[in-house]
Amino acid sequence: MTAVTPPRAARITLDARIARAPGAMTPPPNATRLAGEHFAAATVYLVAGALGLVWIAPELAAGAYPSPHVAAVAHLFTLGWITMTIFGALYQLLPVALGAPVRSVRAGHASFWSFAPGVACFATGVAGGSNVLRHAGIALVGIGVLLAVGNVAATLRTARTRDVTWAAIALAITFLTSTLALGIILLHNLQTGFIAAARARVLAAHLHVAIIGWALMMIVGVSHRLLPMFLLAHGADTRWTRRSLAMLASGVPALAAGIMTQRTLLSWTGIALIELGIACFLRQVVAFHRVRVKRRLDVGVLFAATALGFLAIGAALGPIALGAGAGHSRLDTAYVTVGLLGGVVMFIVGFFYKIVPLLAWTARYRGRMGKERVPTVAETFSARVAHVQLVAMALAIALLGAGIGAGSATAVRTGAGLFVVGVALLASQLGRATFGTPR
Amino acid sequence: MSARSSDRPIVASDRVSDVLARDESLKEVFIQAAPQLAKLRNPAIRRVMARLVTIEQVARMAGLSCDDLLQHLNAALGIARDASPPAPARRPDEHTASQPLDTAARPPGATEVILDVRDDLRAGREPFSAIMATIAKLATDDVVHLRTIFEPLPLYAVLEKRGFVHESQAHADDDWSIWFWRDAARNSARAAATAGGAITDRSAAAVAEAGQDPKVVWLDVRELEPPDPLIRTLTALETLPEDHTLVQVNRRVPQFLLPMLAERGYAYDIDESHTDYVLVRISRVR
Repeated sequence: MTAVTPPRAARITLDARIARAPGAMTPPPNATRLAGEHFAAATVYLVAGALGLVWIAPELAAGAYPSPHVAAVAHLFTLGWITMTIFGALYQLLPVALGAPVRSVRAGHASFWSFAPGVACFATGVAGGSNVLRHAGIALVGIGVLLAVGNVAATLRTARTRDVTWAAIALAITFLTSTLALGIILLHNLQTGFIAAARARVLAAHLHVAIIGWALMMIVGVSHRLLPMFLLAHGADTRWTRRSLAMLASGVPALAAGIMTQRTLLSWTGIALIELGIACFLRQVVAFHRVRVKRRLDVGVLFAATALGFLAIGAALGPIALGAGAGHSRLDTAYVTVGLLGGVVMFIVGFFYKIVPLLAWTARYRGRMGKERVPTVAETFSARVAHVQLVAMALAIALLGAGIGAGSATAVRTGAGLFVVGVALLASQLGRATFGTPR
Repeated sequence: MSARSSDRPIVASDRVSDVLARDESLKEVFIQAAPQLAKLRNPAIRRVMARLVTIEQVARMAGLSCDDLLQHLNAALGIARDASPPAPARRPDEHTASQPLDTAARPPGATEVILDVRDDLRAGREPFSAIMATIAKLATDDVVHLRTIFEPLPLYAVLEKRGFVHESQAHADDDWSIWFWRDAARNSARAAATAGGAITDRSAAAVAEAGQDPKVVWLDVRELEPPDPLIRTLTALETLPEDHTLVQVNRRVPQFLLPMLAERGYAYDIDESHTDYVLVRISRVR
């Protein structure tokens, strides 16, 4: 390194910033609002999903995962919480991760106003058996997803760096589109029954493409950028992320194709690749953890770490469920519950704790920073309450998994109740970070 | 795994918090070696102080030999002193002045701004933001009179980089007065010296080049978690003379900072030509 004075760095003044070309590095000022509305709606859906868990506890305990009630609640989590949060996070973090501000904030808002009510409409329609609501809902959700995917894809085209995070986002949005297509097939089947006995297989493929192809792939890619930032962990061997993505990206289509075509070898190949992909991801996290400068893990990172524990349990249950074959619906339900709520939902809660209070803090104090003492981000919410929430949610998921396995409606309902407590604490914390008075 | 199972010896640059994380009972070793460190028994004080100071700094505060203290600590962990490797090189942003930064008398007739953070420290509250906010509002000729419960050695390094010198006086083991003021005559030289330590992999020629520019202030935020880089940069800009440039050394382009710079009337250049870091040169729009 010889240059101290940048040789040909672009000089960007206030005026130049406003007149910047697409792809310049400054994020649009209203991207924070766009992310904020996604996070707010996602929190509402998480609360609704948690309450829904209590409602469907007996069906979960019976392993009735194809029931419309279970499907409706599952979509509150997958679409309402996970997908909504990922969209919001992408709008905020694309500039940081890829040096590319979101292509169109207006398209982002349009996507939100289609997607957010669409999820409610769809979930209500599925739960209540209303064709009109189901179709209106899926239409709105479909428009919202396609607008968001198009927006993100256009942003990826202008990205200044095309690294593993870029690849993960590109792959994940491809899987999201596949999830939507499979979902539309399942919805159409509700009316016509045209796929007949294949419904359970298509449902299994839809589930895995959504949870692993869309959500987990995105988590792996985004963690690659954010975990080193959260842990101050620089200099780790980062090849494990690439390996993880390669395994997951080939494993998900193999598993989905194997399940749908009933080719056992293909299914087992797919699940083996997915297991390896998850193992590589966990290995990557360990590598970051080992080189971290920050010794004490904050509550957001502890949530993510707990989620990784549940992800490992879910990964262990996967081959068992596949080996057991059809007719073990409680095992299948426990596998999906632990993987979805424990592995993915909890992980996102952890990142929520890292991102949302920071955004709220930035918005509230940006004019005063550096000029006077402002509260720290940690002072805008209670770490003690967050730790209580972590224990409540971890216990809840353990109880849900064990209760479903044992077929105990009481245990499942207790677990669901604890989950509601955890989610209510999260909502109160977010409200406090956004509107409350810091300690 | 037991906290004591780690074989790595404690070294001078370890922070007290890391040492206590290995085995909290080691606080008694500190106290036995230097009774004035008894305040480490207070969990609130321990929480703040232990994160801020290294073993070497504790030894200096207590007037002990660093080697002796290390020997006691490693012996308590069951690690032979002979096994200890030499202390690693300092991090680029670490304090480089082990002696008092200035022995000159305080400027006569200067306005004294008193900041008492003793209660904050006793309650376990981090006083850094309050101190920096006070520093940010300081007029050129003012003196800050800081009251603390221990000698804030890490703070000396931070403020030295901003051109401050200090004088300290212990009223009791847990009652210190430290006065900070700007020394205009030394600021140019300090800017050059700080530039030399800001980036580890810069060549000697480049360091020399940077050192020749007295109007450049360097701020290395690579080891800070968001939003600290943002706050430190904005705080530093508040005290930056009009004709100076602040160079922030970061691991990535600070995307949240850029719109705020524009809002506050700063221009910036971004140099991404380096593999491991990004330089953001910030100056006032004229």
